[in-house]
Amino acid sequence: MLKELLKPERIILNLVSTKKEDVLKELVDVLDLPEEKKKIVLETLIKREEIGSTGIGKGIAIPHCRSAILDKVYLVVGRSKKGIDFDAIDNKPVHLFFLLCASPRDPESRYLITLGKIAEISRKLSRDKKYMKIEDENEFIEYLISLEGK
Amino acid sequence: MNKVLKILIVLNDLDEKLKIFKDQKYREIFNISSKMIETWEKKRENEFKKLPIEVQENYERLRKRYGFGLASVTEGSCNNCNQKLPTFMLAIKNPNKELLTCPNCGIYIIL
Repeated sequence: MLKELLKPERIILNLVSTKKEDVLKELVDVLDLPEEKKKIVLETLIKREEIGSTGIGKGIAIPHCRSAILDKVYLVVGRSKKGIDFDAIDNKPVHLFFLLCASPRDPESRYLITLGKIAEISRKLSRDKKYMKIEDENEFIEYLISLEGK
Repeated sequence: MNKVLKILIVLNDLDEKLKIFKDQKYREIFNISSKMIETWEKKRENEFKKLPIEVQENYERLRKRYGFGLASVTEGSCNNCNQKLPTFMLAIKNPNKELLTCPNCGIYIIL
């Protein structure tokens, strides 16, 4: 499932942002959408963070939204070696971000299933910090896919 | 952008968030409490009230029928019914300054 969504151009191995809103913008910027739509997606994500942080702990966050302006599912993965304060539930800095955005038209509940899959992979990632060492986008994708199968 | 369309985008976002909050597994992963849901239901109610009455009725009717009341357009086709929009609609300059609906399914559209 993740294989279809993970693209090298949507992997950012060295995030430059240091603040919560900036990192969301950096992740959204990778989407091939017009600027007006990117702005709407960003606002939607910020509003979601107001409910409660999507930083699920152990250095991982899964910002996500479903918006009528989108026509498909997008997954962007970003890594910050330094870590970013994202108000995570364990108050620890976040090193790995999975941004998931989708259209509300989702008859197979792919969005929810993908969110569950990412949360499952996140648990495995938090035990094995190899993701901090990989420096090639394709290798990073292969690594994430290998965890999905484990 | 059209004022009503702006409200519809926010409303659609709130509706999608509330929809997903119903999922137990989701609530567990992201620590969503019943109180949080109540707060967002109120926000949704307030946003809904900002719409003109006729748009309120239409939006709710569309939601009952399709699950959502707003859709985007990809390569000239409505993302709800997949039908091509008429050329004159696609030729409108700054289309999101107007509140447009798909001539086939009636859903509010954002281009």
